[in-house]
Amino acid sequence: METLRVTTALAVRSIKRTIRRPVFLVLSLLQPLIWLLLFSQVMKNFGRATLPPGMSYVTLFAPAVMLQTILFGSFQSGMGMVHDIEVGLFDKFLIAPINRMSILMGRALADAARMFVQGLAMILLAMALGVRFVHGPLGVLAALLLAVIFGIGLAGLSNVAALRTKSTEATLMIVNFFLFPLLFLSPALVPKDVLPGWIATFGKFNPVAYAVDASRNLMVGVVENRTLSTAIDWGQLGRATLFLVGVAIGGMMLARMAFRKATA
Amino acid sequence: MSALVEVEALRKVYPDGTEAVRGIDFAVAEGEFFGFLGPNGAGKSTTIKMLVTLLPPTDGRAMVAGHTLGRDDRRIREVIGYAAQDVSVDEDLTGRENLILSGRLYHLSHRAAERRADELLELIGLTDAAHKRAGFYSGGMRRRLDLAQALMHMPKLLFLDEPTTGLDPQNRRAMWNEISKLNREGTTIFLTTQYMEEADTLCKRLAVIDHGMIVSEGSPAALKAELGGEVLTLSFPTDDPEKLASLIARSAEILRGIEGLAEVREADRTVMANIKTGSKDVLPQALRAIEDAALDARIAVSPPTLDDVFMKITGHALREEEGKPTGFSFRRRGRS
Repeated sequence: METLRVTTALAVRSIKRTIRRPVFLVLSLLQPLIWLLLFSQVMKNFGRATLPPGMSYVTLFAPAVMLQTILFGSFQSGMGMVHDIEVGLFDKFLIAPINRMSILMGRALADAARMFVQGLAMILLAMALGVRFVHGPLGVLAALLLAVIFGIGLAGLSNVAALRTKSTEATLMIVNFFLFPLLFLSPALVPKDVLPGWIATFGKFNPVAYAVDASRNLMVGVVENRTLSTAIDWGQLGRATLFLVGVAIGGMMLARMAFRKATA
Repeated sequence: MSALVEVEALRKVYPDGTEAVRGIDFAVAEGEFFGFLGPNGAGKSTTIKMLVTLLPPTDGRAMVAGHTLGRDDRRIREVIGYAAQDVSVDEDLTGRENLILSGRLYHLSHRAAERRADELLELIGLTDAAHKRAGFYSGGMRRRLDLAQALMHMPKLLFLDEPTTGLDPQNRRAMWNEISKLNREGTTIFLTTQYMEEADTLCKRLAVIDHGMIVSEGSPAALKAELGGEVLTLSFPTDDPEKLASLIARSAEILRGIEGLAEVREADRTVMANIKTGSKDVLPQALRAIEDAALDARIAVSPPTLDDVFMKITGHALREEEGKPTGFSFRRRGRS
């Protein structure tokens, strides 16, 4: 009970920080916004040739951009951790008579809230660009939650980087190093059937690929071989959920280990 | 009086091999104002970080507030307060929010935390700035807020790591008053400082620490008495390093030849010597000798200060530098 209260207090504190530095929140939305606008123009003709008739490229891309926003947003978690270490707040939390895991959990809670808002902002933008969501608000909500779960896992990994390197730059480098390739090696930009065989095969191990498929599945329908199916692919969704929850648990466990090591 | 802190053969070796603390022993009694005096890098912060459960000791034992360090750390955390050398306040929270958060970390109810926060804001004179973000506070205000954070749960033992570093004289004095008052009201205080004046004014008992070892211990008065009589100091009105060096060497030589003087020692810009108690006419003798040698020197006689004590014990001066500026979040935390 005490632990829960402390966790909440720390989460509220992190959320306040985010709200009071809105520039970071805005910047975190700017890049995906540019991607959305740019790619929907660049890929317009490509989309006409490879997508189901009548489907715009924006529609294909929007769920992936929502996901991308959340995944890149997840790394603000580790950067916040580096900040706390640098200004000595981390030490202040460590000498308090609390369950130390609440430092990590409070952060994760705040991250989840922030990523949810970031994802939601991209969804509203997509709607403004005319994207229709075939499963209504419930489908969108489910896709958002799944993306946030994935994001929690990555937030955990960014905290591992933060606790190990204690450097903002290093933490950021790690994002670029892992996340970009995983994103390009997923069906984020093009339908699955257009991808070369080896990338499709790699997708079986790529959590980003699972997440892209699942958000598309829940938001705009399943796209394959120039056909659109608006029935939810429960099999895919089940596998994705399992995989992404696994990533989340794994990421947080690694963060916990790094935390223990850093504070032992 | 029981001991609130008991330290035995405490040692810390950092992973890079630096032996920051080399087996120290000391005790702090309940209600005492105890100080660690030493230059940068002497091991003051390392010792404090071990005692507040932030850094595991390499060797040795410590009891803090009746609990064994390393075994009952959480119990220790409940009753101690700690203000680090570098101020740590959340710049995006208001002063009041910072305090309330601290209170929550010590399991105060929200209401109790609010009440205590307002009380402390009043005490440290930040009531008017209570709802301003700490990022807009001046260095002095941050220091006070940082101290108040450590006081939210009314700790019976307070660790202060160089609490006035970086403060201007006025703020320093205000901080001294606040800390003294806390001690008078019953809080046991363990303070580190590199300022002689601070140690002299505040501490009832001191340990002088240098290169990770305690080299002397006692009340400021006792430490000064150890030194004996008054101190003669020669200073030289020149900025030319070569000239200065030769002046120092030559006048040290001269002073060593005077019978009533003991422990002639050379510092960066001065030469000092103790006037043996009971000796006569030392000053005129010294004056004449300096004049005969045609040395351009100023001569002064003063009661011994802790500076002199430090100089005598360690053979080097305690560097009296001005504190480092408290930057806006971009600092790396050093250790000393």
